[in-house]
Order: sequence, then structure tokens, then C-alpha cells
Amino acid sequence: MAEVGDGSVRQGGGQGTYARKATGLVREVSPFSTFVFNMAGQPTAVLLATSVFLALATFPGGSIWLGFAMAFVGAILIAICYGLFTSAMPRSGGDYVLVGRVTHPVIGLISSFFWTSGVILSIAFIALAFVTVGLGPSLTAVGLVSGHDSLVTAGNDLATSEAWQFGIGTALILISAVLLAGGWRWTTRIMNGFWVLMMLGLATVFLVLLFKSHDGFVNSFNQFAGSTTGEPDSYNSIIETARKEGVDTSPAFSMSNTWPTWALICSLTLFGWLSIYISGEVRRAKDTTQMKVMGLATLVHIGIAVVLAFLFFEKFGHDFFVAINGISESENYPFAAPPFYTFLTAIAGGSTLLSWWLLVTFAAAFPLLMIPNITIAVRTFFAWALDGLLPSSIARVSPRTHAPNYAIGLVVVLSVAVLGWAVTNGEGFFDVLVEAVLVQLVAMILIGISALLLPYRRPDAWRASATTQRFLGIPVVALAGGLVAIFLAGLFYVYLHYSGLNIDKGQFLRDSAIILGAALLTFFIARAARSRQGVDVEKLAAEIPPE
Amino acid sequence: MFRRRQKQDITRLFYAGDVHGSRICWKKFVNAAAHYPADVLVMGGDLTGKALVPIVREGDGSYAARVIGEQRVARTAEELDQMQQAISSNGMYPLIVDQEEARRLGEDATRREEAFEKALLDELRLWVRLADERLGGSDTRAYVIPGNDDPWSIDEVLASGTSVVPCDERVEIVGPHELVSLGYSNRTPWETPRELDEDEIYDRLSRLTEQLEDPERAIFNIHVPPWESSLDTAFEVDADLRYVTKGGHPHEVSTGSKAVRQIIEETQPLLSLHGHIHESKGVTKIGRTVAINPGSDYGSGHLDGCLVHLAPDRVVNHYLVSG
Repeated sequence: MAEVGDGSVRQGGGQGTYARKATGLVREVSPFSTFVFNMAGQPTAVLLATSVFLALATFPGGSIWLGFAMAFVGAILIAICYGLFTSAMPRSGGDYVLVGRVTHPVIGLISSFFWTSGVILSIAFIALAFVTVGLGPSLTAVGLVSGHDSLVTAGNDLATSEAWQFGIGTALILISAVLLAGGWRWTTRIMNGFWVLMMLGLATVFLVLLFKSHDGFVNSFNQFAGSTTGEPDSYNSIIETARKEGVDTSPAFSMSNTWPTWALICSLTLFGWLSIYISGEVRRAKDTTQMKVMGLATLVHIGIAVVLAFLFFEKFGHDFFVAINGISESENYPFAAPPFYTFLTAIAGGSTLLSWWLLVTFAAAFPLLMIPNITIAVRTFFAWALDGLLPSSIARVSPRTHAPNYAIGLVVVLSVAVLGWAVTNGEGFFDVLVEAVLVQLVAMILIGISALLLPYRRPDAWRASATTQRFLGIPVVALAGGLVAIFLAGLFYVYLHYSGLNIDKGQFLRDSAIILGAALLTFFIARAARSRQGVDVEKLAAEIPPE
Repeated sequence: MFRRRQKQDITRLFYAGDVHGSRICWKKFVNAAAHYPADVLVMGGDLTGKALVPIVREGDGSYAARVIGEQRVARTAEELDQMQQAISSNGMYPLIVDQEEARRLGEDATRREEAFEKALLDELRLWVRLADERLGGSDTRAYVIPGNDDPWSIDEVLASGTSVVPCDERVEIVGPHELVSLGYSNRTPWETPRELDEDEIYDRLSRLTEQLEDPERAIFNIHVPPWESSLDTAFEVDADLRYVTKGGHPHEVSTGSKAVRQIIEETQPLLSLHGHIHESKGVTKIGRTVAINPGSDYGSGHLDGCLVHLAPDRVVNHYLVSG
């Protein structure tokens, strides 16, 4: 509750401002933790392992460099738009609050339903991927590099056993929830710790590859792979195998394949702004700090990805890297571990200790990713309950930690249920999961449109914020909002247009209709129930008009 | 869950506090009566702002000020008005000065204090007029107390309106309820204007509760929250007004009043409304008493408050709102 003071009116707050002694609010989340929170929503390690290089074989000739550049432009626009927008309304609840307060509570709820559907799917996916992408393959990779068959078997068992997937995935959800229930103090500590661990792992990869020549990698790979493939030149044999399978390892540039490559890259580069969901809890939320933090998170994330991707191509060899990713799902792929950069770097380093270190630092990316996702869902449910759209008990907080334990419990129940579905019906789950990015794009577009409307629908909030700059006479936040909406609409189109991105248009429309219906149903049920209590839920969920 | 509102006499009360000079929050407070709607408005203290922002008249006729870290320039009367509104909305007081006066303010602490006092009183007069304009045609009254941060000079301004009922250290009749109000806080490290020792707080509250005809129907409007109630958790500061950290994080402690807790436990009113600790928003029960601190986020222009529906003998429901 404190602001320092010496008993007199003194210079403070900024140049030309005089402050007097008084008590005041202290927000808990520091700019550094806000930065980590924004990076945690799209861990660089996961981007490099799962998103980028899938595009190499699926969309031959697509330029990942152009894809990164276009994604960076979009991500920076989003950082400017959402950063400025949330500084005008620095409250927790994210799109629900921003969209609902500027347009209408129903539209805010619809946006929020789309976003939160994607988040709940993501939580289940992260829990599942922690086992099937993080622990299992990494353990197998360690076993292969160190020559311990038992570890290879253990890794395979982990990656394929439904019981392990559900058990460990559930444990990750529960541990993250317990952390949140303990309040920000422990949550930020653990989150920052995971982030540091992941970054140290990426730094290790950078250093190992920096000092490894291409020829050196080829030798290390052939030495390692020989016992599995039985061939002296496994490196070139992988390239030949891929070519026989139709993988074009050195295709000419193709703009039409660059678009879907860009879309894949965007799936893990456009989310450096998730702190809008905790804006009510971050320090300096009212000025441009959050926008700068979002921009920095984007720059660091994409910058590291580009540097490491460049190193991968240089050191592993372009054709080989395309080839090994191209056949990774094929029966001709010779290894039990997928060709993640961790596996290939461990081969390059040739050290068991290194492979264990890369396992730990890579696996850390999944709990890191889990924390913001669970936080977002919790803050959203909390905001709904606070506005009377859910039972009031969901908005109750722990007297000791001030954590919204009921909202956390609701998120856990939903997430574990979806995880159960994902484990037992993987195909059906993944059919829906690919839509997660698309349904979240709907919410992101609505945020962009709301930012566009902010200076006109809520001029008081806009003028009182740090967002009053204009460009060519147009408020910057409105301009950025319009550009973001156009950018994301373009991305939306690419997702629907390219069949290689595996979006089933019919199913997407059906699922969108279900989400929309659920949002409207929730709103009208809440309105009827609150009306019986003598309260207008639209008023609870709206700004009090100041004039 | 969604409990049904009983068909009986319900008093709809809207409470907020700690608006700290934010004109937009005050406007929302007054308008909350029509918005939710509410029959009674209660303001729990700390009305005045914490910062004065000089708007410097430049040689070319433009005006310059630094607002939330952004250097702004106003070249027209409309832009100047918008700049002043932006400063007011953030809980700060705009003060138009020429370059010479800006220099003097920077050098002379007494001059700054006088300017500050004048600015906050002028603003409060505007608020009282606004309340009279907007509530004048209705039966709704705004029961207002100062908080520990408010200087004594505001009391006279609060008493100058017709729709604002200044009620510090008084018992007011609000429908079937009696409203007991106290704006003092216990001692803080900041030595703010209205602070008392715990035994003095207890004595003053006791004198008020002795006047109650039906304590079970009473509503407390006490600026400082009760000790160890979860409505009073704040970061600890040391003698130098720096945060006490443990393990690299600010250490949280209870900062509420033991006297307030004792008087609630002894009197067991229907409802007890508090502010003071902005970050300790919440609802709790102390015996049969529902105690609420809606928190404050005045700097964002959002009015954190609570809407409470009261039957004569019970709290029917309550909503923490951010309008």
C-alpha cells in the first residue's frame, strides 16, 4: 500500500509532476516477470522443435526467413496495438474486458469463449505434449546418444503409454494450478526459473553449434548413426531416402508455399502479448511499459529463433535438415527419437551429459508454457464471475493468498477432462486442436477491431491513457488495431486456404457455431438468473458511463 | 449459486472508496445510482489525489505537460481541455502555469503545497457540484467520508452540497439501517493527516455504536479494514519506507485495525464496508457480519466498488464490480 514520501509535496512520478505523501496500490508482477510471462506463452524451444521445420518438407520452397520476417512485422503490430489498448484499460481478464468494455458485454463474452476454448485445448495439448514431445523423445534421444537401451525403451513407453500420458499430464496441470493457488510470489519465481532454464538450454545449443563445423557434424552423425543404420555414410543416405520419398531437399523459392510456412511460424510467434490477461496485476500497466515489454519479448523470441534456425541450416546442412524432417514420420526414419534440434545437437556434442542437459532444458519449456495458459483461463473465468456471468463463488479468492481458488479448480477440471479425451481419442482431439489457433484468431481480430474503436467509443479512457499519439491524424492505437485486424484476417484466410495446414473447414464452422451458441446461451441464462435477483447483468459487465 | 432475490424491501447500496482525485471515478460513483441502479451511495474515503501536474504555457501559446510518461502538447483550447481531463482522470491535478511559475514551483516547497491545496479543493468543489447536479432530482444521497489521506480542509467543502452527506463520525439513518462512519486509519508509516492510535479508534467507534438502536441492522462504513481479515493485506515497509523483501519478494503483512476488528466482533453489524488497502479486494465474514473491501484501481479510470442488496435483517447478495 505504499508510496515513499517525506511529508511534503515533492517532485515525483515523472518530470514536471509533484506528488504528496499518501498510501497507494502496489501491483505484484514486475516488468521482468511480465516479459517472461509474454515469452512463456510461446516458448522458443517449442517453436524450434515443433513448428518451423515441419514446413520444410510440407511446403517445399517456402521461405522460413520471409515467414519469420512477416510474422515479426505482425507480432510487433500486435504488441503496439494490444500494449497501447491494455494501457488504457489495465485490468485483468484480457479480451473479455477489452472487447466487452469497448463494444458490448455479449461481444466480449463471445470473443472470450473463442479464446478460452483455444486455451483449454492448449492446456490439454501442453500436458500431453510434455510427455509425448518433451519427456518421451528427449529420454529416447538421451538413450540413443548415451547408448542406454533402457532409456530408449523408457522414452518410447512414455511417449506411447496412455496411462503415462494422462498421469504425467494431469500432474503437470495440478502442479501448475497449485502454484497459482499459492499466489504470484511462487508462480513468478517458478515461471522465471523455467524460463532461465530454457534459455540456458538454447544458449548451450548455440554454443555447441557455433563451435562445431558442418563437416564435424557430418562425422559425428555418421559415427552415431552407423550402429543403427549399418551404413558408413548415414548422413547422405538420409538425404537419398528423403528424395526417394518425394521430399524436395533443395527446392526453388515458392511464394505460394511461403504463405502457409508463415502461417505455421505465426502459430508460435504471435502470442507475445498474453500479459493483457493479468494487466490488473502488473506494475506500470498504465504507461507504455507493457507495450515495450511485449515488443521486447517478440524481438527476443523471434531473434533467437532466427539465429538458431540459421545455425541449424549451416551446421546440420540445408538438404539434410530438410530431409530428416521430411521423413521423420516415415517408416524409413531410422531413429526412435524425432529429429528435434536437441537430438541433433546432442549428436553434434557427442556427450551424455549434454544430452541430459538438453532434455531438462527442453522439457522445462512445457511447464513454462502451461503457467500462462492456466493463468489466462483462470483470469477469464474470474472476470466472468465478477461480472455476474458465472456463479459468484467462482470469483471468491483465498483469504491468505488472494488466489481465485474456485476459478483455478474449474480450469483444472475442464483441462483434465479434455486431456482424458486427448489421450483416449488422439485423432479426434488433434482434429479439433488444429483449430485452436483459428478460434483464437477470432478473438485476436475482435481485440484489433475494439482497439480501432477505442478512441471513438471510449474517448475518455483513450485520452486518459498513454495512447494518445496520432499518425497522419489517426490515433495510433486505432491505426494499429485496424492493421492488426487486417493482418490476422489474412492469416485466417491462409489457414483456411491451404489444405496442408489440415484445417477442416466444415468442422471449423460447426465448432465455431457451437462456441458462439455456448457464449450466447451462457449470457442469456446469466441474464435471466440475475434478473430474478434484481440485477441487470449487462450493467454489471459494462462501464459506468461517466457523463 | 444464482440465489433468487426475495420479494421484500430491499435497499440497494453501492459502495466505493479510494478514488484519490480521479474525476472520472467520482463521476462514475455518482452515476452508479442510475446505472446499476442503487438507492444509496456510500463513499469510503481517500477522495483527494496524490499528484499535481503543471501545464506550462509556452512562448508560442501552446501548453506542455508530461502525462503518464508521455510529453503532450496542446495547441488549441479543445486540446488543452482534453489534456486537463486526461490529468484529472488519472487522479492528478492539472495546474496551468507560465514558465516562470513552473520554475518557482520547482524551487519552493511551500509554494507547491499551497498550489496543491488549492487545486484539490477546487476539484472537490467541482465534484460536490457534479453530485448535486446529477443526484439533485432524486432521493438518492451520497454518504461521504474522508480517509486518512485527505487533508482537513476538505470537510468544509464536503458540507457545502445538498446531495453529498458528509457523515464522518456520525450515525445516519439509511432506510431501515443505521450507517456508522469513520474515516481515520490506524498509524501508517506515511504519517498521513487522519491517523489515530488503536485505542482512540476503539473509543470513537464505541461512542458511535452506543448510539445504535438496532446494531444487527447496522452498516459500518469504516475506511480502514479490520485486522487480519484478508481485506487488509499489504506489502510491509521499513522505517525508510522501503519494501521489506523476503526471498526477493515484498513481504505481505496485515495492516488493518485491531480496534475495528474488535468493534465488528462485539457489535456484529449486518455489513461492514472498507477501503484503504487498494490491493486487498475481497469479501469475508466476521461472525455474522459481511465485510467487504472492493479495492481500488482509480488510476485506470475504473471504479472498483460493490453493489449490495440488503433486506432489513440480512445481506441478500453482493457483487464486486469494476465499472
